[in-house]
Parts: sequence; structure tokens; C-alpha cells
Amino acid sequence: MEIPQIIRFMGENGYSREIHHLHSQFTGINLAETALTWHLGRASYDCMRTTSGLLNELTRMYLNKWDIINVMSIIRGKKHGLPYNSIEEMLIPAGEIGLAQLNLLLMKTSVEQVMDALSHWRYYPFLQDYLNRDSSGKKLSDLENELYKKFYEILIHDLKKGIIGANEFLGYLRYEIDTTNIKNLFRIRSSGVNTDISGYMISGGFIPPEEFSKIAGIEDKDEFITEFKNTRLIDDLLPVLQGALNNPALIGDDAALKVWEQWQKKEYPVQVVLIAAIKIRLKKLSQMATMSPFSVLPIISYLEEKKYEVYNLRAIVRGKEYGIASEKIFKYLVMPSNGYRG
Amino acid sequence: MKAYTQVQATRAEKLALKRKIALSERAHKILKLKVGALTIELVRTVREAKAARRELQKLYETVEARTALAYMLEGTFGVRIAAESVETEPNIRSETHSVMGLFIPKLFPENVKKPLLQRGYGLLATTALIDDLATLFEDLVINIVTCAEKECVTRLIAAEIEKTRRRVNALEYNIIPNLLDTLAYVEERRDEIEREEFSRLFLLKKKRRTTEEEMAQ
Repeated sequence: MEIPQIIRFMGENGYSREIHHLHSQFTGINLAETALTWHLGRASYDCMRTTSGLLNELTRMYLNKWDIINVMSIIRGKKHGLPYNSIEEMLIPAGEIGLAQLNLLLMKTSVEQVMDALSHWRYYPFLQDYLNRDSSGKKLSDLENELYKKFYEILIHDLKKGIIGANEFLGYLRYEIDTTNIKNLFRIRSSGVNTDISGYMISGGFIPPEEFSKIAGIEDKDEFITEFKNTRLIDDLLPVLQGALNNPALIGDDAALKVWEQWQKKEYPVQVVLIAAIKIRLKKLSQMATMSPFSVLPIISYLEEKKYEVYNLRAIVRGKEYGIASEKIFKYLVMPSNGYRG
Repeated sequence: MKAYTQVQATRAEKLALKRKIALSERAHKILKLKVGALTIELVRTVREAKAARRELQKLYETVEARTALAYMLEGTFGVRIAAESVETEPNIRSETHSVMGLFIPKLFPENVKKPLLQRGYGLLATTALIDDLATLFEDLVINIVTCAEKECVTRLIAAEIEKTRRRVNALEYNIIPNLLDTLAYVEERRDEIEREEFSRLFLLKKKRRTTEEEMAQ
């Protein structure tokens, strides 16, 4: 299919509201991408609208991830003096902060005004803390990392308060934290930066940040393999490697050796491995949601699957725009496999 | 030849002309050597500029492919957020050095290549694809600066060769022949004046002798 055909297909399959609403303002690839973004926002909004009580509260808290992305985009845009439209293009209104409120933030003229307008936000104290720092410590990347860490910290803290059905969600969150930490461990390693990585690791996962700091400094093969097998890393990475290499018979020792090879070469896992990791995570989430149908997990599972549906469509239209072969685009799609519906 | 008709056919002028010719011939020789040296430098720079351009082209194609992949997997917002996060602006410092009297620039890119943790975007909100793209773009900027420097130097040297060659040609085909012609004219005129003087003296002497003989008779 070509881009107009894909847009037509989208318009006929669940994206009609966005396509019809936006077709007078955008055309081609921009129409497709904006419609996808808006659709993701609508899916989140619908989830918040249709749930109540605790489910609603937990859904809102999970969707705060998008709020952090949007707030950081607005703050960065204001800091660099970008025009309204340029910042607007970077927003995905899929969080607790709705489109109307994001537009109000966009009207502000300075970073301070944006931060002040967020005084009711859950993460406002951290923004205030940033504003109070002296100029040498004012790095937006640090603020962003801090907000992400606080996002998980607050979520886990609230879940541990004895909320019914929180354990299942907590289990998923801890797994999500581990996968994010593993990815960042390899990222920092492949970038060649010799630094204490504990500040860049999110706490709250099954594997404590200290374990990652310990692994980060290992250069010896035997030590690495022993450490790798002793931690939960093997449990997380083995299914990913089995999926990526299409080899279900791969055992722990072989997996550890393969990971060591990449570790030694300071290489970041190829995209196929990362996509396999996403598939495993979604499959796991889907299984957990099936096992706990009355928890917030079915909603989280739906939202995550919706996110990757949108990402897949975006990959297809962008791939078509750049003239990438269909087979190659297909390789980068997070497609359903063994129980994960997609 | 127009210049020498206005000169005075004096000894001083002749000496001045001889000095001018010697100077012009020396300048011609030096400038010819300069053209030769600059041509060697030009050949070397052109080779370097071609290699830099080839490398830039290759890198640009890689960057284009990776940008397409980043837009595919991260979307416009993912790529733009990372792009707008840069907090330290890249800068280019320039210095000049002399090659055969020609001042050529040397460019030094600063704050272009940054370690992962100083790029300005948060580590927890981005992916390795963005790191990869950022590294490639940093390399691309460095290559563009290198390529610009090499091409600028090539153009400057080529322009200098052209200018110097024009000077060499002017000396060889215009100034030195003119001066030689002027010198020849001066020498000719001086010989003529000498001959005129000789015949004048000869006639005077002859006339005086005739007068003296008539007086004696």
C-alpha cells in the first residue's frame, strides 16, 4: 500500500475520527502521524473516562509517563525559544494532563511560568527543586531522569500501601524497570563512558541498582558470566535472546556467552533483540492481565498494545515515505506472537 | 612599445632600467617557483578534499538511512525531542597559517562530539537509536567542517595560483620585454647622441682647421 491507501485504511479502521478531524489541516505523512498521535491520546482519555475509583487513579498514575514527556518538551521548547507550533508538534496528549491544559502551558512565555502553572501536578515539587538549583546544576536531562525515577518511585510507593490487586501491577512494573535498566546498562557501556551508573538506574525493580553498578565495572569473562547467572538478568534476557535468535533451545550458559560477546565489544544489542524484548514484555503483561482480570493490568495491557499498534502504523507510513522495502519495515514491527494479541 | 618613448636617454635612466630588469627577472623567478610550490600544495589539497568529500558523502548516506529508521521507530516527536534537547551549542574556532605567503584557514569544531551523558536528553526517556543517530550527526558535522576547510583551502590556493600565474605572465610577456625594449631604446638613443656629438665635434674641428688655414694664408 502507498501512503494515501494506508491513510484510507486507517480512516476505515478505528482512526476515522482523527483522520476526518485533521484532514483539512494536514496531508500525507503528517496527517497519518498526527492522527496516530491523537488516537493514542484518545485511547488514554477513554481509559481514564471509563474507569472509576482505584482503577482510574492507577491508570492516571501510569499515564503520567506521557505527562513527563509532554512537560519536558514544553520546558525545553520554552528554554530554546521555540514557536508555539514547533512545540505543539512534539506533544502526545496521552497523559493525565489533557490537550486543553497543554495548550495553556504552551501559551506561557518562560520556563518559570510553565512550572508555576503546574503547581497542582504530582511532580511539581521536583520542578520547584530544579528552579531553586544554581545555574551549574540546572540540566534539563537530569530533571528528566529524576522525574522518571520519581514516577516509578511514587507509583511503587502508592502500590505498596495495600491497594487490592496492586501486587500484580507491582510485579509488572518491577519487570519494566528491570528491562529499562538493562537497556540503559548496555547503552552506557556501548557509549564508552566510564562513570558511576547508579544515578541512571531506576530503583524498585527486581534487580537492585547496586547489582547493575557492580556488573558495569566487570571486564573479566568468567566474573561476568557468574554475575550474570547469579542475578535475575538471566531470567529476563534468556527469553529475549531465544526470541531474537529464534532458538528456543538456547540455554543459560550459551545466552550468558552471547551477552558477554556483546558486552566485551561494547556493542548495543541490535534492534531485533530490542523488539524481541518488547514482545516478551507485552506477552508477559498480557498473561498477567489475563490472570488478574480485575486489576489495573488489563487496562495497562490495552494501553501498551495500543501504543505499539500506533508505533507499528507509524513505522509503516514513515518506512513507506523513505522508500524502505516492505520486508525491512516488517522486521521492525512489534507483531503479535504466541499469545500476545498486538 | 609605448613606455620608452617618454624616457630620457640618460646614463642614470639606463642604470635605473638595468636595476629594474634585474629586479623583475628575480621576481619572475621567485613567482614561478611559488606557482610550482602552490601547484604541488594544490594537488595534495585536492586529493585530501576529494577524500573528505567522498567520506562525507558516504557518512551522509548512512545518516540518511539511520534518520529514516529513527523517524520510523521513534516518530517525529521522539527525534525532535532529542534534537531540541541540546544545551551546549556547537562552535567552530578558526585559525590561519601561511603557506607560501598565502593565509589559509584551519577550522576546529568545538562542543560537537559529546559523551552520551552530556548530550542534553534524558537517558531514561530515549533509546539507543537516538544515541546512534546523535553520534552519526556529530560525526557528520565534524566531517562537514573538515570538508569545508579542505575545499576552502583548495579554492584559495587555486585563486592564488591564478593570481601569481597572471603576475608571472605579466612579467614574462609584458614588463620584462618592455623594460628590455626601453633599455635598448635608451642605448640606441645614447649611441645616436654619441654619434651626433662625434660628428658635431668632427665638423667643428674641421671648420676650425679650415678657419685657421685661411687665417694663416
